[in-house]
Amino acid sequence: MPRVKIYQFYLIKTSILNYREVDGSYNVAVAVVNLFKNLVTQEKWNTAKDLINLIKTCGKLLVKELPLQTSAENMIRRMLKIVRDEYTTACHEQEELDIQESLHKIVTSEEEIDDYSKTVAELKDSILDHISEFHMELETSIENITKEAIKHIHTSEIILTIGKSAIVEAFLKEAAKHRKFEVIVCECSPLNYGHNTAISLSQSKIPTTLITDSSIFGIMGRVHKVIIGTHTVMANGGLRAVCGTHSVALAAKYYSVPVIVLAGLYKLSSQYLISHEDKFNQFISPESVLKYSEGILTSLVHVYNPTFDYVPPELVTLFISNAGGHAPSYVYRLLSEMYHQDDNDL
Amino acid sequence: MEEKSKEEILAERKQRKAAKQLKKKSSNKVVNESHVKDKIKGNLEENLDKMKISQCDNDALKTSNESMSVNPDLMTHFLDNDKKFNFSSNNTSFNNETSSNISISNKECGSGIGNGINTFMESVSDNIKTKSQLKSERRAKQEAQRALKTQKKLDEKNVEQFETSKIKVNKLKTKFTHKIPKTVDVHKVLLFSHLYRNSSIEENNILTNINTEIHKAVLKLGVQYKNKVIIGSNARVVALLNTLKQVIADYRTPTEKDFSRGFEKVLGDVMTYLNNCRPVSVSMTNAIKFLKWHLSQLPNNISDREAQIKLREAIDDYIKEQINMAGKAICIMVQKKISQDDVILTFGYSSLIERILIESFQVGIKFRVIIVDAAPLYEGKELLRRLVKSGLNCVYVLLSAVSYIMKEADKVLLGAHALLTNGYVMSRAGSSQIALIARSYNVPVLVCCETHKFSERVQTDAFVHNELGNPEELMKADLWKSNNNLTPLTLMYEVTPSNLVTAVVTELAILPCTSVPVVLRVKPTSSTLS
Repeated sequence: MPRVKIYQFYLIKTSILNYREVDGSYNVAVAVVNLFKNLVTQEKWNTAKDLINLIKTCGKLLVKELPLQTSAENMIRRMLKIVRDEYTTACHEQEELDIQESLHKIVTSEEEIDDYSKTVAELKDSILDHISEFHMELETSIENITKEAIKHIHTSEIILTIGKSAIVEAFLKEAAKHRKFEVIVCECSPLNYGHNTAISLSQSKIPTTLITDSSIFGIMGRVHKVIIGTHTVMANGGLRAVCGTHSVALAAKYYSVPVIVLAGLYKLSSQYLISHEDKFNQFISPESVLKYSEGILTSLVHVYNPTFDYVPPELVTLFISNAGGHAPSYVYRLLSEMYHQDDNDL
Repeated sequence: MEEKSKEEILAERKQRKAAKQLKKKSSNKVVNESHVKDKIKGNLEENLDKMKISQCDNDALKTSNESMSVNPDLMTHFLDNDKKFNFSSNNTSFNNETSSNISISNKECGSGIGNGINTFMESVSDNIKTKSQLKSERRAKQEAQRALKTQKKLDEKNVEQFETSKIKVNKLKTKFTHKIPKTVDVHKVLLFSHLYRNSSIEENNILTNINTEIHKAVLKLGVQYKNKVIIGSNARVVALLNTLKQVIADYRTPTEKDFSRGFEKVLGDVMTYLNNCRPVSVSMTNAIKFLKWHLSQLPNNISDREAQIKLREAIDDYIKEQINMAGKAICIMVQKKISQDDVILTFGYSSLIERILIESFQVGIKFRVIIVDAAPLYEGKELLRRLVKSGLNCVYVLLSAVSYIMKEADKVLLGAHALLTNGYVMSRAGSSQIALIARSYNVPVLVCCETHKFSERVQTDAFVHNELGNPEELMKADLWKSNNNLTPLTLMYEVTPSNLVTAVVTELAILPCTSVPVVLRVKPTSSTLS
């Protein structure tokens, strides 16, 4: 058990805990990467094995605190993958990378299982380089996604979006520089994230219509594309997205409107939906649904205010990530490229 | 004999003419008086007699104003506290309440006006009261009423004297102030531009209509529709029919016309006025169709009294059979479909659904209810209050959470605004989403709808014919009024495709949606009515 400078770790961790909101997944990802960068530089470790254990221990602590911020968990896995990659490259410089790249190799490889315990020179530097590189990738992910905008939006299109997503806003604003189109925003009551999106888009001179959640089906018949953000992309290509997205996706399916999901690769999780109660959904104060001022009534009824909806992969047409566009059926492949199979359980 | 009778007729005509002239004179005087009254306001040094009259007028005005405005307030008050007031009209208690309210207001107005009239009458003439005289008196009363109304309008514009009549005055004022900057056209969604009602024209229409001979009770009803005090397809039609009963009772056939012709015109005026206040519902259109059919069946020479009785009976039958009994039949049918420990999901507030749930609960079936609610009206909260009061076990969520909660539901019960001939269900906005999600979770969707809401219209989308909600309820006006690129939009209704609905429960049977045209054809309208 490696000793961790617990106090320092907690100090940074608390700053991450501030990002509990739904739209904070990018910030969480960046914060986690920074945290582990510090961990790699400041903690004492000798072998890759030590480091992996260190990261795992800290990761577990973090995941326990942020069960719903999957991007934190994703980043931990990514860090582990980076360490493993750097170790293997350093050890087998002459050999091909990544034994699990093809089934053929897995079957034919006669190597003993490497336990990452060899001491490798300059491992720390290469890992830090790799993390920095990854950090850059993370920072440019929004930009990379928004670059795709004009490939997906044509002139005088009507686009529907729901809730508040920084990436969707950036995407639409980028497209608006080149094309003229309209946006319909669902308000997403009770928290009304949509209001902020609508105001922000309209300030960028995009003709915006804010609609109630109840008008979604009615208006969907005239919508050309649904472009939404998501909180997490599940391992099967499904979404964990803001409440109400399932309705939107179903209505879109009914009218055969394509649903495009914008998600940086850091949102890709290896989780599956088991049940809403199991590390999937979050229930926040029902005050915004039924006011406490209703008095006695509030004590007599059950009121739910869930944060997330699960959207099955068959309702999603396309993912656009910083690595380009993918069908939901391709997500499993991205997963295996991004995370090491040994890290599925932290 | 014939010649004699002709002579008689001639004499009668002369008499009438004389009466008319008299009436004209008197009405002119009333108008003059009212004008004078305005002057008095500024000029205190006028002679006492006129002062008295003007005061009388003022009193009458105030009472009428108060009764017009306070009652809706009262209603909302009732609504808030969940007291006796029901906006489900199935309950007769509500009917009585509104009608009593209305009658109270009439009495108040009547007495006020009566005072004015009496003094006026005394000062003007001490003639012997013949029949024609009585008639002219009545006419004079009406004229006086009209004069009062015009005055009221003027007063509203002029001074903020009548702050008691908050609803009306405020509404008018905000509209007027908004009219001046011409930003109205900007905040319209192109797809729905045909649904926006030109507020200034609409307002003017209502104003001009106040001048014409529209019954007080109808005016009040219009305001209640407009302010969404009376909502729901059933509530609206029952309120309309009850109001019409009053209109019928107070209706006198003009001398040259027969009852049915004359009243049909009145009915037309009433409906245009109400349509201006809020687009009429399918149930209302059907009820009016029914009433018109009855009117056409009346013999030409029928006396006012008889006609009134007949129509009143017809209306009572309609409310009883088409709404109350039909509701009962549906209740019995749905009860069989609710089994022990079921979880029933419902959306918004339908008076029929409320009745079904409460009656099923009282029969002894144990079940839970999930109430889903959504903007713009958040009417589900009202249903929640009532069900909880009746002792049902309830869950309350908003529309966005329906995907989460649907897996718990066993059945979905939805109310409807109307069933269209192509089998589509016209209902409150959001119903289709419920149906969609229910389908994806394999939960059956039952739509409950009495056949009086079946319509011969066809519609396949929510765009062609719909109603728009108040955008300011969606977002605060200061956030978007100045921003030309941002437009809030609320749809009131939508049509649910028939393939999303498992079955429709009507008083006749449980049917697939597509059977609507059959029901419309089979439905015994004209045959049993006669």
